[in-house]
Amino acid sequence: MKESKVKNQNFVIILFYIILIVIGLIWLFPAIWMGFTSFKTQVQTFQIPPVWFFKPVIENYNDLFFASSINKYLYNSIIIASSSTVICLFLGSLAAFSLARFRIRRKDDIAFWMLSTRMFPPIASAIPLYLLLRQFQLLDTHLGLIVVYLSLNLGFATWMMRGFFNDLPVAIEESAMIDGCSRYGVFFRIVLPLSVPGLAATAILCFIFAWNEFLFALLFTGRVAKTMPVVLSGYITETGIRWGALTAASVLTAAPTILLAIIAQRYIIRGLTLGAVK
Amino acid sequence: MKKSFLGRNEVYVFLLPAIMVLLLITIFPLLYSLNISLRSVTLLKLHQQPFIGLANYLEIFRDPRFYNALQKTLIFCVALPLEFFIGLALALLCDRIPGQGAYKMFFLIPMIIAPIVVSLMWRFMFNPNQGIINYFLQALGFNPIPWLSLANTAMLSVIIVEVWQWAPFFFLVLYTGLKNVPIEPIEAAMVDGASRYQMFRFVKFPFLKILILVIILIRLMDILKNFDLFFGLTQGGPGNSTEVLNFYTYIVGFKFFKLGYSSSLSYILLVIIIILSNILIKKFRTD
Repeated sequence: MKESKVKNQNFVIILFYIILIVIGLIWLFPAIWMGFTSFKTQVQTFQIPPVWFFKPVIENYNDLFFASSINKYLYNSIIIASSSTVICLFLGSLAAFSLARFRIRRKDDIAFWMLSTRMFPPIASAIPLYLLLRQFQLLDTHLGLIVVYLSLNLGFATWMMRGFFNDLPVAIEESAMIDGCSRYGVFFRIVLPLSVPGLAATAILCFIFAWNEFLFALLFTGRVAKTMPVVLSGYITETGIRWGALTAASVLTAAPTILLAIIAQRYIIRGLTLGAVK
Repeated sequence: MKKSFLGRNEVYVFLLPAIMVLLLITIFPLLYSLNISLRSVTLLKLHQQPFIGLANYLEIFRDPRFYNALQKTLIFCVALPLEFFIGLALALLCDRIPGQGAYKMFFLIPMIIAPIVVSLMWRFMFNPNQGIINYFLQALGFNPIPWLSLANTAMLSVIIVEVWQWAPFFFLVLYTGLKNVPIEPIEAAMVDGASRYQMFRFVKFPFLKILILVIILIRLMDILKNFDLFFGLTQGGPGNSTEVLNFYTYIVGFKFFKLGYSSSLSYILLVIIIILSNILIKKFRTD
């Protein structure tokens, strides 16, 4: 009697595993399909019934790298996303440290206000930012987009780093100060090195947000500074969509974020819930 | 340590740069936008910006396209309960399986792929004649669906993509939440012979309540701001059938170049989102 119950339970668990694996595969199918398609020939791309087994060709990638200026746009994306990430992290962790440790009046309000800047709809600041960038001749420049992306990520970075600093024990900092370390020394020599995982996680999230951002990039850049998402949307033309090049470019755009997310998987959920889940 | 050792200068050095930058690139643009929304501004005649008071806002309430946009926005919000319940179902399923679950990693992928990439890859699959979705439908004996090219199904298609991308978010968050429920009340309930449903409803759910509220608010705000999916999939069409408020604001501003009117539309959206974010922040504080 008891044995059969245990067996039954094992059976249920195995069943659940199978269900989950099937759901997972169905869920991932769109991404896998895009990856597959990027290695097909033009003819295979739209064959019905679809071709499941084929000899992968790198035609699409060859076209991208040798017959288009994709290198330049990849470079734009990398420069813009990483510069804005570095600035956000620097300014954000300084502010976060003061909000986590110093005695400042209404510091919770300040922290919440900084976080709330992230929640504004980008379309509301799109027009004024457009006019301002135009005024300062920063439209279609790297610098322009880097500055705009601070508005996306600085409040977030501060909020996240404040959470990580709050998790650190204060005792180490106190003893360092008793030994004569200055505030700056404590911050740069003790707090920052101890928060490397938190810094890395926040950096990865900021980078992903900036890398994936589309609306501002679409509105504020043109030929010179456009980033990968804008390039992708450019493949939709009046005469149709160039799916071969598009799928290959999509893989190039998605691959770095997937890699980064796998590295930082422990922290992605914490970031996306704004620290509500630790 | 909590007591301040430092002089005023250090506060300035640490905190002020970030605050100044945020004031400059988030608050100032919003005030600027408010100013524009009270004027008649078009991109072609930027040197003339006559002040027209609330005229833009009054025009909104006479604009049938605005009411259409509101309605479409509401319909699009259906995605939220869908992704919540799918995520919850998956989380409860996983919670019954022992182990940490490395498979969870795969569910991170939809969320972190750029939304524009997501929209384009689904557009590829939604292709009515050569797309894989209609191929599967026909293989299973159903009629093909015109997906993005018909007003009735276009919004459904966008909702499907939104749910695909974000149901995993609810799944992963709720799964983590379920794992974090303390063991003592669960054991106590087990001793008392609680059923699975009772266990969830009366023991686990109360622990998750605030977390659920927080993530629903976060998603709701993101759904109201969603631009990329509409741009990549439908461009608001066919007709105005997927023209949500956010997208309509974009069209007025950057296709019709009516910057004043667009700003006033964006303020309506902003007010909705500010109300939501205030509720969210209150919830954070009760934690």
